[in-house]
Amino acid sequence: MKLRLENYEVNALTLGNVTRLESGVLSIDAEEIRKAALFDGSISDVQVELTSPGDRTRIIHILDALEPRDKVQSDRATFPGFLAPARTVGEGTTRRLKGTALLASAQLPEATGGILEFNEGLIDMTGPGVDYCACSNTHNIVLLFTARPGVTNQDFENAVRLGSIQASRYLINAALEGVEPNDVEVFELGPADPSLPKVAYVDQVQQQGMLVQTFLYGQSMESLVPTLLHPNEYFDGAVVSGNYRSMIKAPTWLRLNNPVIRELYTRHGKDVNFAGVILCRGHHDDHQLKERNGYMVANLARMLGVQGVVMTLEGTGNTWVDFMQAVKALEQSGIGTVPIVHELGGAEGKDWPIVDYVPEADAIITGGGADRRFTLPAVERVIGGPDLVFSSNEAWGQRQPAGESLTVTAHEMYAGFWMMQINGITARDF
Amino acid sequence: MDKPIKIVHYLNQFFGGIGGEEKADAPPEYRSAPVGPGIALARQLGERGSIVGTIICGDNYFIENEQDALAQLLDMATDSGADLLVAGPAFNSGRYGTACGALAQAWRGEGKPGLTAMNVNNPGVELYRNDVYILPTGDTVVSMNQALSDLANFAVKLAEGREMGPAHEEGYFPTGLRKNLRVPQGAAERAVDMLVSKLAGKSFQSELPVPDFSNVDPAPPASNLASAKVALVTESGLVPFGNPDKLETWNASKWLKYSISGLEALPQGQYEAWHGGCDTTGTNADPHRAVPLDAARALERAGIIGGLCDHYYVTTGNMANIKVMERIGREMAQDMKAQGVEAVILTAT
Repeated sequence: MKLRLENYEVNALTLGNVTRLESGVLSIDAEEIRKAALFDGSISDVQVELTSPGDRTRIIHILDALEPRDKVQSDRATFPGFLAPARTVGEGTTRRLKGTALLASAQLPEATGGILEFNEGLIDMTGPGVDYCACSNTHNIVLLFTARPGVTNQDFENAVRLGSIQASRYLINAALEGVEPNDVEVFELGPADPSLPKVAYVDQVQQQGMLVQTFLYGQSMESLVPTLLHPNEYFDGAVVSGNYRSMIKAPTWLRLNNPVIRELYTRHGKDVNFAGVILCRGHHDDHQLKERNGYMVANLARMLGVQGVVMTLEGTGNTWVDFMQAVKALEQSGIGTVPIVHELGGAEGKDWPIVDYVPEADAIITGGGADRRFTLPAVERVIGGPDLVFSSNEAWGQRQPAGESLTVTAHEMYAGFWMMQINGITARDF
Repeated sequence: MDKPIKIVHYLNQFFGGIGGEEKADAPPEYRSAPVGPGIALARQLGERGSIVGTIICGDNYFIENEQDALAQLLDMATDSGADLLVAGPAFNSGRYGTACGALAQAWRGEGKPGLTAMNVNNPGVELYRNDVYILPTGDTVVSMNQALSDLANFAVKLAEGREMGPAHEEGYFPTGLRKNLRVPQGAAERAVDMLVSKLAGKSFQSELPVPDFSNVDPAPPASNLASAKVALVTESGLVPFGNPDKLETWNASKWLKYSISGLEALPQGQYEAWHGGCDTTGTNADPHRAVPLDAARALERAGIIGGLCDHYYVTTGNMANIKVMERIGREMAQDMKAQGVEAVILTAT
């Protein structure tokens, strides 16, 4: 399975009368992208805002983040299963607007709570927050969706997702007409030196229910058992996030640009023989299902014939048990396992840092303690609304002005846990 | 470093040259010069520092008179004019390690840097590593030179007052604190590096070590219960009324055994449970709820068990230190084996 990924680099954004990429400047016709994003009547309005790295800007109320991508001359589509056939992807040619993100910002029309809750996770485009949030280093096209009064969260969030995908398809098709790519990357799990260790990536995603879920080929992973994917399928959007616990989520942008898949491709044929991805969900309802999930992950790894795996998890709490059961089953099958985790451990780092562990987890990589506090300075501009409500810290439930200086932790940053890992933050015993 | 550091050095009666176990009740005393391992420690320090005084105390004296011993030793250490206290190394000696940890902790409580060194299996590590820097050593005096070299180097670092790096890099037992830091590589790259090392059988360091509480495999059943001597063991803290041997209600440091020879039952009101982790009302009302002597005597009479051990064994299982409990279990088992015990009834709270 071979995928050509054409990179069209974007260095600046501007609003204009036409949508076009020229000399690295992406000009966007706001009216046309609005029309594409207005998916159905549950959305009453869409506004477009642009922001780039270094701006003194804060983005709030973000649901998902995509990277505009589409297929070239194919009977397949990116984000398959959403307004396109659910045919498998990962082959042929895919174009991407490299260096950009298309963000959906919205307030859900109905109140949320419990484990199926929207959690605020913000993006700062400059300052000390940039290492703790996704899309602070991309040129961002922010679509501000407004719900029509009376619509349900379910209808609205579905329309926002589909509207975002439609807008991203519009954007890339209109912008790249007659444009040549800056460069092309080729992804193929070609033959590798058989003496290299054969390894896989185990990706455990968050799946709790509406507003906190993940899609595979357009279908929620609620009843999914562990399955095998080619890494190229991620590059084409086979895995899409519908998870609005924003701090602990991995947005679709990070599924398209998954750091472990990228790394294993870089090392393929040099240090390892990359065999594939095992995709599974976390937060199963009871221990029996968690254990079953772990052993099924291990069986897939055995059938792949791998000697080792790298694992990531999305979410926290309950889902740790699923994750550690998989570590246990893999290690007991003789498969060397390196889990990548976040830590909690309190503001001072004095509490026990992880929710669950097994003694087999003897090779952990950590993104550090996510409870440590830091202060974000006030910003000049807020995209997404005048105020915000954190549901994860001491200011729980209190409405506060979004543009002011805020004391936060990674729990209040967009994809904070994963971004700490990606940006080389870690922790050690002292 | 601006000026040489002044160190006061703590030793037990053995390393202090007073004597062996027969002198373990020696009270604190002060010498104004390095003694025993202190002479080699001073050599290791060279021009970086000197040992201005040595404080010495017997292992038993310290354990049995801890508050009094600490007060006397702290006074001596303060009077020595030292900036920094070094205790030990204590290797695998439990009483000595506990004293070293307690003294370094008390010294640190006065705002002055203190450190000690001992083997990972010394109970002093778990008791004091959250409060003082403890450096790892081998389990016997064979590793003395390395331990003194490590202590000298660490003492100098500590005296400089610079921020200490991670435990694994600086070579001290983790203090229970996790701190964030930055590394050049992201998690994915480090994970693949670690996986490659792990699969190649090369050494690697988990970024988050998790404790491995090893499983205890149950012993095989007694081959012939009808002839076996059986012991009653409990972690309920059940002791004779008044707790004559001062068993702790939590974080127990000792185990005890009490005679049940000739007793058919435990008389009500003559025993009580010293346990801070459960409601002891029921046990105090009827001690057989913790030590089922009455039922065991019935089994003995019926010939189902060969006989009962003449003592029951007790400690307190509450907020206990794992390593201390492992030691207690080992010591109890040795004592029972010496008496020919083949089976145990272990009652828990």
